[in-house]
Amino acid sequence: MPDLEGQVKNEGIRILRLCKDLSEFILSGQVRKTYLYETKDFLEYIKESLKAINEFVRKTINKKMAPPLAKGKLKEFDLIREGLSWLYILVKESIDSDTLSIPYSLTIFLNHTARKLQKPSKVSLVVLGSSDLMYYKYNLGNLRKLAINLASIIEKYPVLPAEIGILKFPYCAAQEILVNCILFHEMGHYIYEKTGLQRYFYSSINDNLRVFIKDKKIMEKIANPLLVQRRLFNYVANLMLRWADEIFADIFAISVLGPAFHLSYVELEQMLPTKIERNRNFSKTHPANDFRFKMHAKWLTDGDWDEIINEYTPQVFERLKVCEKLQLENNDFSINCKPPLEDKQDLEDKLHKWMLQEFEKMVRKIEPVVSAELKNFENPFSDFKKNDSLVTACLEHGIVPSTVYDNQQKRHPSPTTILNSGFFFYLGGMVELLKKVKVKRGVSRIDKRMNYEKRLNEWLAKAIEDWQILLEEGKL
Amino acid sequence: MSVLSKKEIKRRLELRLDDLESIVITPRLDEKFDQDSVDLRLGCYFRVPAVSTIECVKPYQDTVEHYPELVHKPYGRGRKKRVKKGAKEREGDNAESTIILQPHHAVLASTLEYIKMPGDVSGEILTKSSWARIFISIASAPWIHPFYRGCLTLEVTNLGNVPVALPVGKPMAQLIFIKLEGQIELKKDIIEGSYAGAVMPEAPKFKA
Repeated sequence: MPDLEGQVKNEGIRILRLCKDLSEFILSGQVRKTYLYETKDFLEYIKESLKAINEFVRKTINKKMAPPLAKGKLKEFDLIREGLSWLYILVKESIDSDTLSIPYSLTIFLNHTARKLQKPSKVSLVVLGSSDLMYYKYNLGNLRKLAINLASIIEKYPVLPAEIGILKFPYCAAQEILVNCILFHEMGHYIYEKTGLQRYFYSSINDNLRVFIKDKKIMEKIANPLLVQRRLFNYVANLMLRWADEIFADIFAISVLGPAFHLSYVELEQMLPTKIERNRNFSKTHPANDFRFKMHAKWLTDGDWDEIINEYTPQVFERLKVCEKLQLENNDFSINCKPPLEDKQDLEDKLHKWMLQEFEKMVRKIEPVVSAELKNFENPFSDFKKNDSLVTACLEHGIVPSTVYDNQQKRHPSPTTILNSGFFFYLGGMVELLKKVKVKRGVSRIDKRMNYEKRLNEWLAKAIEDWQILLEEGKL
Repeated sequence: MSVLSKKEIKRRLELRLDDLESIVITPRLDEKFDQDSVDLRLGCYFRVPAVSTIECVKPYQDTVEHYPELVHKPYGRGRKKRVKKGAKEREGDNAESTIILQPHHAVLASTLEYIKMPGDVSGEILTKSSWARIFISIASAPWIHPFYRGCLTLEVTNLGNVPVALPVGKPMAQLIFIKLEGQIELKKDIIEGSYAGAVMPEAPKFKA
């Protein structure tokens, strides 16, 4: 007969030690660093979780217990360990993400924008540096579920606040402001989650797929229809839901930010290693790049940006216009995945064609939802039109564009203008700035350019930080 | 040598950027002008001479890029609960936005304002007198050259015997503009110097 009570004690002590180590790690970080209060709130949640676990485990291991009860407790400890393993990853990343290690000014602007959109509900976007060379919205679903399960066994276990969203960026890009505009796309995923579109799409995909299978008599040509049908539903729903999420986030970011999002995406694409031809192929996780650009083009046109993009970045404009003409129905796109249809090529082609057509219908449903989300949001183009030339003039002279003058009229450009004008300047205006820069002998042109690209990012970040200060002081 | 008056500073602030006589102060708040100077506020970034493993800093020999250590005190965003407009700020309301300077200690700070000097004017940065009266000194390298641009670096020293809380965003320094004498031939705007364009106090860059 195994000593179950002893086992409960041993496992309990191990859990207590991990809780203690994690709590101390959090404290040691907080002593030395400054965090945004979104990050602090999240760390507070983790601390409360650890405290609740600690109290529960202490009480448990101090009790005398019969074997059936001990068995039950061991199962509860399993659940606690699972919870701790999720928290473990987030603790390190949160502690590393102090205000000097994240794109600070962009993060406060992200939260400002999200709060403006989600009025009156609370929003707390925590931005964490990740060791992956990519941007993503961290899926808190598992942690939320676990928190609910743990709350059912641990009396004071805190529920993960619904308003928290975690966005991750490559940790080495903390000082970049332009490429980090991608974070607005990740914020779009957070907003998408709140719209309820996912549930709606899930049921409509299932209904429409059922009709498609019946109409095309797909299962009649399949040897094992029961198994294939189940797999097919999963395959189709997984892909299409992800694509929908991505397109929503793209349209959202373009609408909120303007071309700066598109340009940051193009910039990121050049940094990422990729083996597949992604321009015309839909993948497991993302729609084809050119399809995304088609949507970017459409929404940039709707936002009145065409003329500006054409003037500042003609090559980008040209590509957008080419993509705008592409059509799903003309077979301009394909899907780079293998459906579970027993290698029957004709069925696979039929299914993929149908999926792309259905996806186009989904996009038509997404567009009005994004518009509705942004109905109280001013088109960033209006501020850009007023202030772009003034911001550009500042940058050409090596000046932070937080206060600009138009005929002796003082203005404070919005962060969206700062980002858009900054991006266009980075792509086409640096020469004017560099002409004014005198460097010591021995400094190469490349170093000079790199130093001032860094400066440009710093000036733009400072301008957004200044805007936030002026806003807080009621000076805008 | 003459000091620019408030009127002249304001005139220059309104000139176009490509005018070589133009002055820039950004973000700009009108109430910060005096008759012959402009008040500048304490910025959010500091470099603190933390206890270090460096045995001895050897200028020109070692890289001292991470000495002193950079510290950020976000302004206006550290606090969660907003203080009502008009209400007196209580101690601790904005605890995130202060840095405590111990007696006989120093930190590098910078102005919140980013400055661009004209080509025919030098500048001098001075401690505001109220701060001097509590034995805070803000500059040991106070001269600013024509055409310099950037947030100005302040070497803040507590010469007194009690710790002092330095509040981010509050006026600590005043900038005086001094017109160069003789005929100055202004040809073109130049950005030069290792610290040109800095938005926070930067680590020293000794170059032989």
